[in-house]
Amino acid sequence: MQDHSAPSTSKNTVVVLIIIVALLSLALGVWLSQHTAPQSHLRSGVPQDLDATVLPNGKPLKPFELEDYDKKPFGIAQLRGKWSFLFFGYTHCPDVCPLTLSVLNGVAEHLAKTPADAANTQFVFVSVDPDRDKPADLKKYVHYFNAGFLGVTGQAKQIDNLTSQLGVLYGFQDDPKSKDGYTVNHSAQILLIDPQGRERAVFSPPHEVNTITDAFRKIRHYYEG
Amino acid sequence: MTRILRPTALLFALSILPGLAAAAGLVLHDPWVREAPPMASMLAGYVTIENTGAKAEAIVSASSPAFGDVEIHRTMIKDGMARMIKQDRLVIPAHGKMVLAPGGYHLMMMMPKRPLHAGDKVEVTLTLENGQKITTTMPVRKANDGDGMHMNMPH
Repeated sequence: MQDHSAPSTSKNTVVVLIIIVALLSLALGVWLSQHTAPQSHLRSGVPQDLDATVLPNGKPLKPFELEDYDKKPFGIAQLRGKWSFLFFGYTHCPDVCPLTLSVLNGVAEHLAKTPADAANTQFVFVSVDPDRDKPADLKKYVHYFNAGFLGVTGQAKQIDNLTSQLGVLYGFQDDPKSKDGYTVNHSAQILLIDPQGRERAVFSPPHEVNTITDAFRKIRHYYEG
Repeated sequence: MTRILRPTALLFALSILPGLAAAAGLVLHDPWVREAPPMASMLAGYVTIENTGAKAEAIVSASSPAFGDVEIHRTMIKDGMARMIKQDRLVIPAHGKMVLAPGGYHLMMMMPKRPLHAGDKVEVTLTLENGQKITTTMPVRKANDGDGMHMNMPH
């Protein structure tokens, strides 16, 4: 191994040079990102100090076709022009869904105190259990929490079309004691879609009214400001 | 003498303090059942169980005449999904407490025998590993989630 000391030294020099160049490039990149004015209306980066995961550029959603509880179409078009809170669950869910929907009701009530934040904001419960959650039932269910909330569902394929884009998971589990013999496991995060139809933020449980309200206001002001 | 008197005093306390029950050093605080939205077939019950005794206690089952079946469940986030996992034993450590609250441990109350609304009361019996039973009355009410009063915060 000693015989190769000379070539290995020059190899080391090359490696060191590469590292120096890489570090300089990184420093330049950081400097440029901090000294370049953000584009108007399309601010990059993310607001700070939030209890939420914010996607800096937003993730544009591809078309999906669901139906709301009045059997009206619900797709990308219904997301455009509004900030949308989305939560996925099922109406026979005893713990997580009522908890999350009543937290979202709290968020809606808080936002109502500042009309500018409440304007063009919608709350949408997406049922991943369309076999049981018929439109009329879905309507009674979501309106129990807030008369302004929307409930949507659709064919499994269309539900998957949306959940797969958002990283939302769900699955059915046999449970002989539960109604109809099954329960539904599902992601418990709340998703925020921006008025351009892009996934903009994810709120992971445990959910709390004040932190979600505060984060939403900051996000909205940051990207609209 | 005090050993004989104490249970009597306790029973007297129980009779004047609705919603508070005790056995084997266990005291139940703020029991309640979440009023279910229409169409919901299962309800969730919550309570804080305090163990004032010097040894751990375990609850192994629950039942209620108002429901076909009651199980002890825990909502857990596993593989990115909220799952309800049946608990065979609920251990309350000595001089400690176990909080059953939305989003965590709860009583899964299935097959209600009649529709339940805020203001109704249901009787629930918890059975300890040693065979002792604690019966309490759980009022049905709307949740306070909107006030931020949830997630392991005893009221």
